[in-house]
Amino acid sequence: MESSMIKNDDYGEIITRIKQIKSLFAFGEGILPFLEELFVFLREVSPLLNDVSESIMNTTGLMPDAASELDTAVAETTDATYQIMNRVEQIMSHVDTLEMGANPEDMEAAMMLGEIRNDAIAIMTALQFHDIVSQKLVHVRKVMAEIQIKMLQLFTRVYELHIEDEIKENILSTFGVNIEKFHNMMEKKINVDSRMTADSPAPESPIKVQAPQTSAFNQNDIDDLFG
Amino acid sequence: MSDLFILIVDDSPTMRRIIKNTLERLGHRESVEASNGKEALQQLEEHPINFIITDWNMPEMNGLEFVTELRTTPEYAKIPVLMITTRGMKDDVLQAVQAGVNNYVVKPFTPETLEQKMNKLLA
Repeated sequence: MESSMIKNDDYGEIITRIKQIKSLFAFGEGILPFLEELFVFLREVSPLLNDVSESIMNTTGLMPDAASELDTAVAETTDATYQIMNRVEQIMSHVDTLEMGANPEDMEAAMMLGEIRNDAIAIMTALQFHDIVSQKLVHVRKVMAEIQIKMLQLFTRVYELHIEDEIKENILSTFGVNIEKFHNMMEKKINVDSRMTADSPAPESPIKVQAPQTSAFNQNDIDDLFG
Repeated sequence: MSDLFILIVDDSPTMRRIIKNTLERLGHRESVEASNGKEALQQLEEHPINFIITDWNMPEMNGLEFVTELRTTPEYAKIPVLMITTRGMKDDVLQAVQAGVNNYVVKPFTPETLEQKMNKLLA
């Protein structure tokens, strides 16, 4: 029958197809070990990624507490600094009183009182450490707030993707995000942001991580500059 | 007794107290305080201030903005300004000079440094 008969051209096409399939198998032979390795790698690395993501989530959740700890540290050192200042001022006041009532010819007493006053002044000026450390803590607090906001933005972007909820949750859970925790976190987010960024005696601008600056000047360089 | 009326501008009460104390020990007993540039401008309206010591990092109006504002106000343009700050980068110092700061000290300062800088500005 003519319809069941295979023409020479058809044979040619079949042979071409077979060659294509063969070359595909050849490619497959090369790619399969790689794919196998890739799947093994993914299988091994996946729990690690989950651990990392879990850690990120935990850390994100701990940040407000850490910020609060920093605030407490600043407040406590402020109190301590004030107490020291009060004592030092009392000492200075006593020295002043003693000097006024001292015998002007008693050089030894005058010298001792002078030394006490100098020590008191040295303690007072050393208390500048409090302001310097506080400023650094405030900066750390801002960096922490910035990191937390970036993390939440990242997770939020995934969460807000226009894809099916199941897929979204799968993606988030792949990153170790606990969906329930995340929901709660999203609800608290606004409060957390405002809590971490408000009420600090901060530098001039809104939260920003400063880019590395040029070389540091020491006081001698500055003195040279001003002549 | 000094004839200086000094304005101390710093958002840290600790620093203001240290500076005030040091100034008193140096014989400068007349001073007022402000915790940022805005407050400082108010103090300038209310007191015969003729010397300013200011920090840089402050909320609302920082030291740099304050000095810039000061230098564009003819009434206050010539008041000597000493900046005491934790910012010690080259760019910071240059920015401060451009804004109109007359001298610059990086915290922590010593009473001797403060005295020396003030004498230089008042000479």
